[in-house]
Amino acid sequence: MRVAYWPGCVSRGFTPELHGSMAKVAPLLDLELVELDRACCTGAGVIAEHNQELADSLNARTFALAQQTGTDLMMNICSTCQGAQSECQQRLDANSEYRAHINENLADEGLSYEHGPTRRLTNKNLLWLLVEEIGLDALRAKVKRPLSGLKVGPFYGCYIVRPQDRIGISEERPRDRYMQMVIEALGGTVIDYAGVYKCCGFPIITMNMEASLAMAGRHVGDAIDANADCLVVPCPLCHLNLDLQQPLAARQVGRELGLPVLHLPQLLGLALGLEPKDLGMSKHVVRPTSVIDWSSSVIAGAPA
Amino acid sequence: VLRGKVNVRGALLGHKLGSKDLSALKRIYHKVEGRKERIELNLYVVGEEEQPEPAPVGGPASSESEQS
Repeated sequence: MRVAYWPGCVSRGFTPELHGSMAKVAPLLDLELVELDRACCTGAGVIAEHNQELADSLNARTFALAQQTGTDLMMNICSTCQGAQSECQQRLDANSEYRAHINENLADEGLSYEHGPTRRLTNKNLLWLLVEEIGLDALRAKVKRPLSGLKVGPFYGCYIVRPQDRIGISEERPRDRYMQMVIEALGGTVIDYAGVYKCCGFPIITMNMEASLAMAGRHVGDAIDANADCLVVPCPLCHLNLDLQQPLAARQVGRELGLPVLHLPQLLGLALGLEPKDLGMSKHVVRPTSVIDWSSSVIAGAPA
Repeated sequence: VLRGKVNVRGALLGHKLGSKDLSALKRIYHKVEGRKERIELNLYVVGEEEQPEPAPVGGPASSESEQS
């Protein structure tokens, strides 16, 4: 399957292990990634708050570049990008006059975002693509090392579950259950805990660091109390607050934490037979010891 | 830096937009930011042009989705 691939800024900057693990997992999922090297940041909702037309123009440019790759399926690995892009795309798709106005801003480069009965760009987070395009049965068939005995707490964050209408959550497409479905398809045990659908705290970190860290610390603590071996996130910004900031979050909530936080492609990679080191887990701030131990024990127990 | 998560080489030689793309983005920025009046659609504008649009609920007149 060929997809126009938008990795986002954070995956190529502060969480390079996410970008790297996606590159390693893609061929195992029969995904051909056509990376959108010329595209810019989505604005993460911040530019849209400042100037809606600017955010819509920048994202329309990305959509136009995606359409130039010859596929109408675009994939991202950042739920913040998904949320920001979905908001812009919804406005652009709903109003051809506005879309034409935005396209005028792209005309210097000869770009145009097209939308109509014969041309529709679908933008999906990796999580959605796994369930809706690849399918859970096909995913199960690709598993080489089931995550048996690994207790995984899903952490959705905000942008991939809110607002429900924009994100496309419905009875037919229960996207707010996909993480649980994927963990089970990979053979893992889903851990339910209080923070599954809560905000990680990252968006307020520059305004109120104490509250932000307390939020991250509380979610991680809840997952530990529920006996999770690790968390898995579809968003690198959530990863920054839950992993990079975890030592500070622990101090903020006054308890020991130390729970590994995996990116979704890393969890996939483990089940598809890759090693923790190949998936960049040594780059995490919280050493994923429980995951590495699990991986070692599975390999040790495997028939030669 | 200690865990090798980010390094100087990555920061300096990591993904960068090409100069043509940067120029194009600057042009868009100056054009849009330079407008005297801003176009702001309703944050939650939804729908498809080929579908009948529900009656607008508040928001500026420009937020109404058109029907083709």
